Amino acid sequence: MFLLNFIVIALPGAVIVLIIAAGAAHWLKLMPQSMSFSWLAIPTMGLAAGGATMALMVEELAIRPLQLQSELLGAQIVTPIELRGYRFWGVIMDPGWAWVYEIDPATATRLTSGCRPDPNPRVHWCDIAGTLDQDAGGADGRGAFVRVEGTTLTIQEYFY
Amino acid sequence: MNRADRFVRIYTGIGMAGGLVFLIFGTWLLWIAQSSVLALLGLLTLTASLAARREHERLMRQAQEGSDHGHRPLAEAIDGGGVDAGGGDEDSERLG
Repeated sequence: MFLLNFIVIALPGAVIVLIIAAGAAHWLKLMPQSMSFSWLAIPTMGLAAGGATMALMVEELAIRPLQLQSELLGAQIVTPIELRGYRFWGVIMDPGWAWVYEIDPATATRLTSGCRPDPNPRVHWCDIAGTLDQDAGGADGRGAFVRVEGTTLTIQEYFY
Repeated sequence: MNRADRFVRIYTGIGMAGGLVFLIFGTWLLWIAQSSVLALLGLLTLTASLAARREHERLMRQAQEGSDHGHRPLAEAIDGGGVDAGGGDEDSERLG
């Protein structure tokens, strides 16, 4: 996901920033006569591409899970500091995202207190919130849920 | 230090600081999502900024050494209204 964002968004953006910066440096005479702007080309592109990648990272790892928590639970129960894993699949079709958090045992107990034991002995998790939106035909839709298993909380969103 | 030299110093400083920030968050991203994009970008930005800073310092030192040997530093000459062909004229005057 981050490599794709880098290739599609950050890299072309960095090239545009580089052209503008080179033009500005030349026009405003910002560079010393003895030094070429090419020395600052890689730092400029790195700052632009890195800034864009970091903004996309904040969106992907902090803002989206926060929005999902607000939608599904009505409150923020985990923070990006507790994030332990991130997965993305289905670039072209049926994309999905999963954020895995490590929570403290007291919070895990509190969150799973309303869960009934599953009749299937192999199921140890508890879905504490979820939603499934389907179109009229039922072929396309969106699902999202929050699952707790032990002290691991997983937020997942997928489209099909 | 003239405006252009100050610009290069500030710009490479921003590059080094930005590269370090990208490297720190990139390491976190590498751990969380197994993506090395940001860490590599940070490393590249930091290294390139350091190289540009060193080159700038080398050029400034060179200009300073030039001024110590009786020549006007290039930056000073530019600030003072452009590089002149004074050396040749002085030589002509000395030669009579």
